[in-house]
Amino acid sequence: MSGPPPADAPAGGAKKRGGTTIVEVVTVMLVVSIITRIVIPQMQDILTRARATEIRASFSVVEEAATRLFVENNRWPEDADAGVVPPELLESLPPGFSFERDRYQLDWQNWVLPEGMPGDSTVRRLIGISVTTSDRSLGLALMGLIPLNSKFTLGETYTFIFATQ
Amino acid sequence: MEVSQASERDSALAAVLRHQGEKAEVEAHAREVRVRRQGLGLRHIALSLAVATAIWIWIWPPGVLRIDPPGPPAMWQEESALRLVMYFQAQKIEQYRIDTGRVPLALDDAGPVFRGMEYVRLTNRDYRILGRTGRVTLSYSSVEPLDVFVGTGANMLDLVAFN
Repeated sequence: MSGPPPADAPAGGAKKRGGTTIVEVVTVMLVVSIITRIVIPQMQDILTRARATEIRASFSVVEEAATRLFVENNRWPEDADAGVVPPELLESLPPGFSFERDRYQLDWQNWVLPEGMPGDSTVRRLIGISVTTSDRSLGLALMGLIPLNSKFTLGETYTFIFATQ
Repeated sequence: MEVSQASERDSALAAVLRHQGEKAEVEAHAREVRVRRQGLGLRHIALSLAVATAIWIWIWPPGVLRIDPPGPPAMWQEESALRLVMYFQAQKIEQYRIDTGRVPLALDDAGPVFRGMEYVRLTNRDYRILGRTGRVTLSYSSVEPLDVFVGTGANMLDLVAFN
């Protein structure tokens, strides 16, 4: 025999139980999954733009160092392999500055053109920087970020020309 | 006798009251079950809608929520860029030939090599370059005029700003 129901018990003898129901758990999981589906791509996009901005900053550092060298010595650093800092720039760049990065490589370009550019034989040298990355979103974000007209893409390499001679 | 009649009346009254109490309790219980069933039905509908929405958003997210990965460049762009890069590569070889009097034995003798380039030395003066990207393969022979070979690649770079 049970005693009389407590004064705060719901009418009709229904018992109020604590904890969560399966419906509540499933609802929360659904809400979380929907938010995740929306947020993850946005976060990836933000991260890609942040990386592109970081690359752009590296560009500026290299461009400034190379331009200083050109102003002082009237010559540009020689062409170098991808990921390798041109020896002429070693002293001008901040200590530890690397062309070999986590998700991309920088590549200093100094292309000598004995026959000139097509349609303009007066241009005998192109100076620029290439970025090699397998992340196409990153490459395209970078292409959108750097307002040079002299840029082109081939495969995983994004090249920006910033000076001619 | 009076006592007996009074006690019978009291017990009959008690039975009626008890019966009414039980009836009220059964009705209240039935009402509660009805309400609970209605609530459960609504919850099932809401849950089904939530599941359907989640599936829709995961599998076919609306354009506002979707960030599509970029597709590959157009074939003509890829071909033009490859022509331009092969043009630069041929110029490196030409510079090497001017400096040394012969074309290089290996492509990297003429400096850093562009990706996807293959080189075949034919004679001291002549060579062939094979350029490959993921979808385009081109071949340039040094006997061809270079400015004809570069074709649309010449339009890839806008150098007007420097002039």
